[in-house]
This record gives sequence, C-alpha cells and structure tokens, in this order.
Amino acid sequence: MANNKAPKGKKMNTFETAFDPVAAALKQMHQAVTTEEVPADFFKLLDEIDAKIAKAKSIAKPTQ
Amino acid sequence: MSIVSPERLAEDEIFRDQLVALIPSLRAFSRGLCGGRHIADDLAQDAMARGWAARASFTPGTNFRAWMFMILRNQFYTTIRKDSRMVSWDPEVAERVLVEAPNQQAAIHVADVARALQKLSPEQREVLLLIGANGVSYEEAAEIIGCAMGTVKSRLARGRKALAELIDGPAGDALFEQAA
Repeated sequence: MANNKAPKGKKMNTFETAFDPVAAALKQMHQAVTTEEVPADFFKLLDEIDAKIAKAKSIAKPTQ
Repeated sequence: MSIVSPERLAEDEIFRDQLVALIPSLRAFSRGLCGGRHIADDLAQDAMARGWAARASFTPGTNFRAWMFMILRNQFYTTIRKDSRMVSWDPEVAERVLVEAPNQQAAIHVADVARALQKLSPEQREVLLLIGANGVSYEEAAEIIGCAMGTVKSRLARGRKALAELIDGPAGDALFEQAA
C-alpha cells in the first residue's frame, strides 16, 4: 500500500500537500507538450551539431 | 578548423545527448512562457543553438537543466523587450477578469488555466511553470531565475493566488457562493 504521508520533520512543497486542481492542470499542460512529437526543425540543429562533431572527430588528435 | 582534443570531443557528445534529452522539457517550458506553439518552438531552438555555442562555459557534472532553462528564460526576456507581440500579459485584461463575477464551477479546465497563465506577469508565470509544471525545486528555480529562494516562494504564492482569482474570481468568493 502506498504511503502518501509527508516524511516526519520535512515540510512538503506546496504543490504536494493535497490534490490541487491548478497544479494538476499545470502538470497536464506540461505533459501534453512533452509527449508531443518533436518537430523536424529541431533535428536540423542536431544534424548540424552532429556534422560538427563528426568533422572534429576526423581531425582529432589521437589519445596519447 | 582547430584540432579538438578527444576529451573535448567526448564532452561535446555528452552535451549533445543531454540537449536531445532535454528537448521535451525545453519545449514545454517555452510553450508555457510564450503561449503560442510556433513562437515557443522558435525560442526553444534558439536557446538550444545558444547553449551549444556557449557549451565551453558549461561545467560538466553541474545542473544541465538549470543551465539550459536559464538560457531559455534569458532569451525570452530579451525577446519580449524587443518584440511587443511576445508580451501576452495585459494588466488591463487581468484587472477586468479579476472584477468579473466568479463562476461557480468546481472543476478547472486545463484550457482555462492555460489562458489565465498567459495573463500573469512573466515573473509569476515562470515560477509557476518551473515549480508547478516542471517540478523543479525552489533552490533550482532560484538558480534559473537568478534570485533568492524567498523571492521564488513569494512569487509562487502570489502567482498561485492570481491564477486562482483569474479562474474562479477573487479568493474566497467562489467558495462562499458555492457554500451558500
């Protein structure tokens, strides 16, 4: 059985004390975005980063 | 092109992987700050590009999320100072909503919270998003915002109160009317 009580002597974050519909809505808003598919634009930047890393690797100093 | 050491290359690869893992949270924080999807994604990408460009100033092993969130929110404030279209906070609208009769709905719709959030000041909004939505600690929020933990706590309390009033009307009235 889950123990939802706060640890003794530790003050809980305001958002953890009880069910709070505003806090729940904020979390739901956050979750809705984090579960969205990441737009392709973001991968263009990552492709550029990968290309720079690959280029640097090709001319990197070998480890002594 | 200058020759990069293998150690530096390894750090770059770790940095890149951390950046990829953080994309969903960066998008969510940005969306909460900006409101609109496209403008928020532009801001998140801009922050990622700036983060990558400034990676040499990041100390490996320290809080990467806080470091990137700091870049994103700094860029947000720079942008709203330059572009008035980004300023969603309208004190007049907020005031008008505050004096309207409170509704008597017990349930809160996420869309109502999202709309109300955009009427708050950016300072209150970012604290609610960081702590309420992202689940960061008071300490981490203070680090991201660059203020004292007491300031974070007071902004959070005021932001919560303002948000509740925008949704339900002035504090206490809604509950009083429901109980009557």
